[in-house]
Amino acid sequence: MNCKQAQQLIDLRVDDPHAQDWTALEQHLAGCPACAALLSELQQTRTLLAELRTEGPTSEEMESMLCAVNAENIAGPAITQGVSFMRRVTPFIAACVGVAAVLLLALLVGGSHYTVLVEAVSPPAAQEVLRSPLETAGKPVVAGTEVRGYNEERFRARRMRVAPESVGGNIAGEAYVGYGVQSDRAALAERLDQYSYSVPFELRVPVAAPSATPSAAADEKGFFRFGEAQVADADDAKSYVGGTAIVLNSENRDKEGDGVVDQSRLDVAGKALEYVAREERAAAGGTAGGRGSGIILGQEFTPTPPPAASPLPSPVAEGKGAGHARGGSVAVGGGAFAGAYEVDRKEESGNAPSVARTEHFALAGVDLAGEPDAYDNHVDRLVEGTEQEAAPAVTPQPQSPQPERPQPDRPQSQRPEPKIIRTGTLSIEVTDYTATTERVDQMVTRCKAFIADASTKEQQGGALVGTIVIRVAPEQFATLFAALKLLGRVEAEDAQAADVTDQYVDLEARIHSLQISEERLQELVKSKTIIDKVQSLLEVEREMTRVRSQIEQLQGQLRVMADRVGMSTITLTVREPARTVPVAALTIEVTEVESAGPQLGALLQELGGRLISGKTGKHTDGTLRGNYEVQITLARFADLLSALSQLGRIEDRQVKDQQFGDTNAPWAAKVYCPVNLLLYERSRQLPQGSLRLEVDKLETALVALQEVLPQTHAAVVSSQTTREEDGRQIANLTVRVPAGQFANLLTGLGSLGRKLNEQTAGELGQIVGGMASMPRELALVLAERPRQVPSGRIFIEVEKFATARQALSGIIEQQKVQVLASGSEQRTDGTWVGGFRLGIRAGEMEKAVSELESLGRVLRREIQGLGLGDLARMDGDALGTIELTMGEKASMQPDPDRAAGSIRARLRDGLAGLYNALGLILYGIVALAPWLVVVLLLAWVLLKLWRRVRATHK
Amino acid sequence: MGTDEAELIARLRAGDRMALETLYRQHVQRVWRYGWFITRSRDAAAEIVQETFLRVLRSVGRFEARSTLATWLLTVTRSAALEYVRRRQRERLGRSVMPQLHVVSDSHPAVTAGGDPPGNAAMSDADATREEVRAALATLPEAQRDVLILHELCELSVRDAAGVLGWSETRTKVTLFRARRRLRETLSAAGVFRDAREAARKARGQARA
Repeated sequence: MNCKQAQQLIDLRVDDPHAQDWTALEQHLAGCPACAALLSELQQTRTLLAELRTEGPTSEEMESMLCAVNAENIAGPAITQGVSFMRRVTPFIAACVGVAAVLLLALLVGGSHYTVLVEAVSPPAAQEVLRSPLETAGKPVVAGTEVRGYNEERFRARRMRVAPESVGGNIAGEAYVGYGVQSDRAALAERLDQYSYSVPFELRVPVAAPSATPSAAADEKGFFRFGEAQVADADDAKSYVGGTAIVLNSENRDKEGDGVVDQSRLDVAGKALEYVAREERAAAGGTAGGRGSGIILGQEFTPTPPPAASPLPSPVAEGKGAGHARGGSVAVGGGAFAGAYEVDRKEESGNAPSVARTEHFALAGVDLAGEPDAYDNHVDRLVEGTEQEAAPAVTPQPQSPQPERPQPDRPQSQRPEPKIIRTGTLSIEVTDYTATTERVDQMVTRCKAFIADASTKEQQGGALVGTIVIRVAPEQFATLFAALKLLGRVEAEDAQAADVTDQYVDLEARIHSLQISEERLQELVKSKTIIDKVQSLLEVEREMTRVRSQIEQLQGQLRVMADRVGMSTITLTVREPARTVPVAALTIEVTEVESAGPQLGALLQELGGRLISGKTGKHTDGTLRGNYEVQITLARFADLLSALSQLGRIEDRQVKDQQFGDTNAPWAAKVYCPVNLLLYERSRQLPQGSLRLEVDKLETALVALQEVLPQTHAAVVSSQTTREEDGRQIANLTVRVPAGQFANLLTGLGSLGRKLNEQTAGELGQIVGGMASMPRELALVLAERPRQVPSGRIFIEVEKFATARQALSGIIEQQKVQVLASGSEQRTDGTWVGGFRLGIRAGEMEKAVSELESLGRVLRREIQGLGLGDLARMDGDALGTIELTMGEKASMQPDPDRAAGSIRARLRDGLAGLYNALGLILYGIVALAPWLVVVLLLAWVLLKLWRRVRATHK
Repeated sequence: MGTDEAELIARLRAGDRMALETLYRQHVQRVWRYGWFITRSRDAAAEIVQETFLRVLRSVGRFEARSTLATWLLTVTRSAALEYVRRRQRERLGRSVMPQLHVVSDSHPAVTAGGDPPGNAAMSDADATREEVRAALATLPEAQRDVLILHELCELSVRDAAGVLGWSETRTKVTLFRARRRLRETLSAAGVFRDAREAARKARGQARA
């Protein structure tokens, strides 16, 4: 073992004498006194240190310290109770934040709802279906159609409920829509109840009466023509012409035997349709080709293969979807048929997944595509049929020629034939009055009837209404009446048959008896017995006259009756549905009413409107207002309303009775709707202000002003000129200018001179319209530049003050100089000095100054205002001031301080130099100091290291 | 940490005055010694003791019992002493560039507990030796001196001392050994051991005699 190892062990031994066996160490120590000394000394060190442990605080000190701690503890903050508050609160806060974040996230995701795009599937679809193959359509009725949204999983709409209320073929209703984000249906249903809202909608389906001319029907490609379904009522064996029996049913597919639950709107076909419904219900669910559908007529029929043209053209609907129809129609007797169709539609729209829908239609109608004249033939047939019915009543016997005079009719021995007066009143509502009346004419002609009276009137909105009195043979009364009912929607009907046989016979009898009386009277006149008595003759003649007149009267009544019996009367009132004409009133803020008027006129011209009246007037604040009464056709009504926004800002807009959809009605282009317009200009704050200009010369400025003012239609209304002390002139003017030109005036005036001050208020620019002409006043100040009045100071040294002073007074008198102030004093050395403030006219300043300067030796002279530029502007009469100081020469005395002063100064300089030098030295030291410190530090560090190195090597 | 200590902490937190006194009596000696050997001033030591215990009371709630009470107390003491020294230095406009826990002696060399009143002209040999040792201690570099004070004078285990200084045990031990060596050197240079040897010889001589 060497000393190095031994020393390591020595350290350990000193630290813990019992740590291990020290035999090896002992051996070394026995032979190494240095190490032994080291061990001994180290142990002693430790012992000495241990002795230091005896030092400690005295008991007094201990008590006093404890007291101090206790005292301070009472006064000071209390012992904290466990984990600090912040420590405890932090995790809680973190938890709250976390929960809040989660909740927020959930709300954002879950609480959002989706707006449902409601598509009324069936009604528009129905429209499409009906429209595309058909130009004219009947009156579809839809009920209970279910509407589906785009993404079934996400949301679902409820069924659409339609309140069928066809007015002229329009269906209004409400769709109830709900939304939700759940896919649980039960819960969704609940939520839908909660959140459903109704969306009003209106479907317009054009309604046309049965086609006017069958030829038009022939052009159509379709195979339905609604409105002309021939429906036979098995009970009555009569035919009803017309009526629609369209039924749309897209639900209840699953339920067998359930058919349509709805009813047509037409009364005529109502009966038949019920029939249809009943029958269909009884059938086994609407599949095409089967017995089930189309049993309308109560007849048994055998299904025939569907007509070749039956499939609906595909695609069914234009636009988004495509589809095709399956099914077919079944021909039923009498030219009518029915069909059921299943239409598959696939709709794609934007981002939503495509939805496939299947719709079912059950339709009934009359296929007249192949029989252009079927309608007319049919009517003819009807007419002929009834005529033949009536024919047997008239016996084809050779008639004796009718006597010229009405022969007294013998009362019939056989039973008198009944005399029936048939009258009917019928009131129908139609789409096209003119077309309907034409058809009435045709029908009347065909029935060999005639129109006795016809009158037409125009209602509000151009809807026509008219009354036609038709005389028709009684045999055809019923037919014609029935036929007329089919021309439109029946509002009221009344058919009466009055049996006037008794009255007729009575009348005849009376006439007969009167005629007999007449004969007797005539015979009486002829008999001789009476002639003799003139009185009797007169009486007889009087009686004859009376009888005659009675006979004629009764005959007249009889004729009328016969006439009425002979021809039945139908009073037909045809009415187009009242049209509501919308009215609108708008208030528009325009920039300028003057220009808005022609703009409005151009607009009306473009849209085909009329200007009924226009009136413009000025409001109290100067703005113009215009009131215009305008009329525009219904077809362009909406266009006008939107185009009016071009005129200006629409402040108020009221529209009443606007029916959307009417715009395409045929009469829309003829009906005019009133629109009231109020155009007004925005009131603005009129400008006003003041302007202060600095000019060179007032006269020139005023002349320039007179040239500037007319450019802006301005004029000076008042002016006032003042002259300042320094001779310059200031003009205060009030200028009146129209508001619209105010800004221009300011700009124009700016050219007159330099703007010193400008204050304006109100809207300077953009004053147009009525307000532009309102007069405004501008306060204008034109000020000449301040003039430099010459002034100055002169210091003169004189020989003798008194003489100089006398000379001065001479000058003063001579030059008419004013003495504003003067004073003189004697200095300490006995010399005199005096100061004078002199007022000298600017024009004579130069001369005066030179005179003054001749008084003595000029020590100093400061004079302003006599330069060339100043002279040009100078007002000769302005008063300038010169401060003149005259003083006698001061006596020459040696200056005792000067010598000393110089020495002091030299000393001062010398010291200053010394200070500078010291400063430099100090600066040098300070600059070097850090470097010195660094050097010293390094040295110290090196020394330490060296020592350590030395110590370890020891 | 012992259960006794844990109990004491709990009682302290609860505001038990007796606990405070117990704590005080347990540790006041070592706390005072640290302060005393650093500052060489009884007043300073007293102030440091008070400051230490007050701080301990205030922050006993935050004490996480990861170290022994002794370690914690002396850590607080150390920082209180450092603050004290800094404050005094600031008051005296500083003596050295780096704020070491310099010896700031403003009183006479102390009297031992139960010892002679100050101002005694004749100091015994033992006192002289002790004074030498104290002076030698003051010449040590800060770290070594701290280790010696904590371990030898405040009677902290090496582990606890390491905790107070914030070092590893190994480093603490090494520093301790070096400190002893250094102290021995200084004392040797001061002739303490010679005197000791002479005293021993004297004693032996007296014994023989």
